[in-house]
Amino acid sequence: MTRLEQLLLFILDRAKKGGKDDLSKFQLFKISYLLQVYSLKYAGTRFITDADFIRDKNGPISIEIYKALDNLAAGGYIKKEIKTNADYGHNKHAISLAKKLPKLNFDQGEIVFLDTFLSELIPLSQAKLKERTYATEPMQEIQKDEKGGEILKGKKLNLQSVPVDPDIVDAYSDEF
Amino acid sequence: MLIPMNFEVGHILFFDRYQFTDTGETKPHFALVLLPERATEYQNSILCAVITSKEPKKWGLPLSKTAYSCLTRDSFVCFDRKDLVSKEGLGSDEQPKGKLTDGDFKPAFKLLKKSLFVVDDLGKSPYFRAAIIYQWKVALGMTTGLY
Repeated sequence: MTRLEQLLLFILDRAKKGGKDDLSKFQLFKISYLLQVYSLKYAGTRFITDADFIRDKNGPISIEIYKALDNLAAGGYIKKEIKTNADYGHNKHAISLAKKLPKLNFDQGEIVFLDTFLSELIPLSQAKLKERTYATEPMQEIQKDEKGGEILKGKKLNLQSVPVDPDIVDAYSDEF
Repeated sequence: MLIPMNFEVGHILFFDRYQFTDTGETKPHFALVLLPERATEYQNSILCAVITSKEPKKWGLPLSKTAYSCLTRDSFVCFDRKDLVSKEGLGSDEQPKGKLTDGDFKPAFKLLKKSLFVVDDLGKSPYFRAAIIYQWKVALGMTTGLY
């Protein structure tokens, strides 16, 4: 199982433990993207090593996440259903765990990192998640290039535009 | 047993059985909460730095018993080690016992931050560091949160 597939299962597991039996594809795209941004910002490295994010109409999506979800469904780890979505006003592709979580290869630091940020992200509405993704540097950057309502659909988001938090830099460089 | 489910950064807890991650040794100790409980709740543990009356060689934050009424003697937060401590070891009476004062919060963060890059313990993981630094910045009002 790839690191990305394991991450998606981890997110679904934590959502379920927090009372959300399923998440939409939209939520999985946005949560994964935001985890990647926070990892770059606070850990100085990419958490997701096997996916890129591209611009779509409603923010970041990832071809690799589509593929990972297909693989997980084929393996019987998740199930996909169409459900009504009061939060967003139309139907959603609801994704949920279909069987017991397999053993995942995340170390303790990675689990603490994920739980720290997922505890803030999972409770958010789709609208709030979208708002947060649009406030990130890569989305701000691409929107500057979009003129007159044009959307640069399919263009890769520049994750190198995410600055490392100054306190991470400070801690690396200061002598005590 | 009164154990609230919302310990936050800077809370001071008392453990009847504080288990050190590296040695497995268990002793009664006060400890400082380094991450909100929700970050480690699925591991049934809390990330802490132990508080002792013995000054560590480095990375010790002094806490005076006059400023912290829960302490019976002048003590130190030992940022030279960090432990994921089982909640099972928490004292059975009301927790937290105290909270870092506003005046001690910033010096504590400065020491903790440095220790994260030097001390060879749990904090060496870039992801542990990321979680700790982010949560302390939130607690200090240095960031309003995630975008």
